[in-house]
Order: sequence, then C-alpha cells, then structure tokens
Amino acid sequence: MAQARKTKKIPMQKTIEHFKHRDPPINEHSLTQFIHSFLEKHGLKYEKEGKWFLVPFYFEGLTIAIVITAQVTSYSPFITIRTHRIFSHQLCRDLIGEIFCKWLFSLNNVIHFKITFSEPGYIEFITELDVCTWECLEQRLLSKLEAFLETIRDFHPEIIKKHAELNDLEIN
Amino acid sequence: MDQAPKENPITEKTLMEFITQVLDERNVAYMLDKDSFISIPTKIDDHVLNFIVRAVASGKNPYISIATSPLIDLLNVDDSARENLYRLLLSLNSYAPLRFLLTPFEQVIAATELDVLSWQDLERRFLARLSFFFDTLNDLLPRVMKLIEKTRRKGGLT
Repeated sequence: MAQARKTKKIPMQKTIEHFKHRDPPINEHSLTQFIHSFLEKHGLKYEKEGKWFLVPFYFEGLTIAIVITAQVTSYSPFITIRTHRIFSHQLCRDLIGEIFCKWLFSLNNVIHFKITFSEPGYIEFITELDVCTWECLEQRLLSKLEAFLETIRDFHPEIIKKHAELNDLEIN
Repeated sequence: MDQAPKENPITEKTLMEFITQVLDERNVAYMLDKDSFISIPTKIDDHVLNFIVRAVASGKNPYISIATSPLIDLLNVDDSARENLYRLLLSLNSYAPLRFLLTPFEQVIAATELDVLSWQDLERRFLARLSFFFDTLNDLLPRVMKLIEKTRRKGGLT
C-alpha cells in the first residue's frame, strides 16, 4: 500500500512574500554596489580607492578624474559626483583674487552644478544625486553624469581663459 | 484588458500643478505668482525669507528649482571684505548639499535643483529635498550671518 506522502503546508501569505521582489535597503554598502555595477554595465573604466570610484574622462587633450561616492547622511542618502583636482587656482594673486572669486561665484548662477574651493588651492565641480528610492536610479545617474560632463566641457575652458586674462591684466 | 495608467507628460504646467497639489495636501502656505513660481514664506532663526519654487522643463532634463529670496546684499559690503565673503561662500559649496550663488544684483541666494525624469516617487523626493534644503539653511544661515557680523565689526562692511 502506498504510503501517503507527508506534505508540509506553507501558509499562502508567506509563499507570496517569499517570491516578491525585494529591493535592498538603501545604505552606503548597497549604494556602493549599485555604483560598481553601473560602471561595469556601462563599460566605464575606474579605479577604486576606499569608498571612491575614480573614473577618468578624456576631453580635448585633458584627462579629468571624476569621483563618484555613495553617501548616507542622517537626512538622506545620495550619490556625490565631483571632479578631482580639476584646476589649481594657487597662482591667483591677491589683486585678481576678488575678481576671480566673484566671477566663479557668479558662475554658480549659470550652471546647475556647484563650483567650489574644496581642497586648498583647487577649484572643483560638484553635484549630488538624491537617492530616496531605487526607482529610475540608473537612468537618473546616467543623465546626471552626462549633464555634468557636458557642463565641464563647456565651462572648464572658460575658467582657464578667465584666469589667464586676469593674470595678464595684473602683469601688464 | 487592463490598460497601464497614462502619466501626464512632464511639462512646466503639469509640474507646477504637481507642486501646488503637494503643498495643498500638506497645508503649506504659499503664494502663486502668475503660475510661474511659488513663494513659500519661511522663518529661519530671526530671518524671514521666501523659498521660491519653480518648474523648469525647457531643456533636455526637466527639474524643480528651489531657491531662497536674497540672503545677503553684497552691494553694501566694503571691497576689502568682499573677497573673503566670496571665498567663504564658495568654500561652503563644498560642504553643503546646496549651492550658494551670486545674482547679477550682487545678492547671495541659496539654490538647489531636483531632476524630474519621471513622476515615480517624485512626491517623496520633492518633500525630502525641501526639508533637506530647509534643515541645511537652518544650520548654516545663522553661522554665515555671524561671520558677516564679525567682518562688520572689523570695519569691513560700510
């Protein structure tokens, strides 16, 4: 006589829950993993230095390293995109300092990314991408990165030109 | 047959409707100026200012712009103090997740932009950004004002 097979009944609710797609929680680790797979998927070369992803981009005769980092503050998680040592303003003498600083400060009105003095002697471009949710994050990061690079392409030569103009003015 | 819900296209009009709806639902007092921007009266420390919220959909990427009314008027600042203030505010841009900028009228404002590629989770993102903007200013503005006051005492401000 065939023995009745013992089956273990799993409550329906649990089964459905088990198969539901679950997004990982948004924390520094999961966001870092997201950045890593984003760079791999889009075939972007990078170097990892601690929490930083250093991604070199080549413009006309110029290599600019973009640093991408995951940051989770008490307020909200976000991805920071910043240039790494893009431009040194150390030669900027006192006399032209005010004009140059004012000009850079005004540029923040024109572009949607921040121009800032971060490391002493360096001017950087920075932007942040909020990550309240994983929805559309890949598309948003890609779009932000493209706009960021386009802005650098447009404004970097202008910064160099303005700096040279002011230096010439001071020398003469 | 189920049909996927059609979402509104992202335009300045639909984005402005979205913003007013979010604010209405939360009973946030605001003024709508000619349907082009929203002004939200805000008090930070002793400073009364407005948050100006606009929808911009003219370029490739639509976004919501959140900015303050002028925080500091640099027209009255003596030349010697200006460079220090420019440097200070430029350096703050490195630290704060918002942007201090100089308007063509020599006024300093703070601003931030929220990208709107899709309507998905936009309400949550907008509210998070708005409160983040407020909290950051709440933290920074009194400190910036204190520094300006210090410069004034040294005779830097006229």
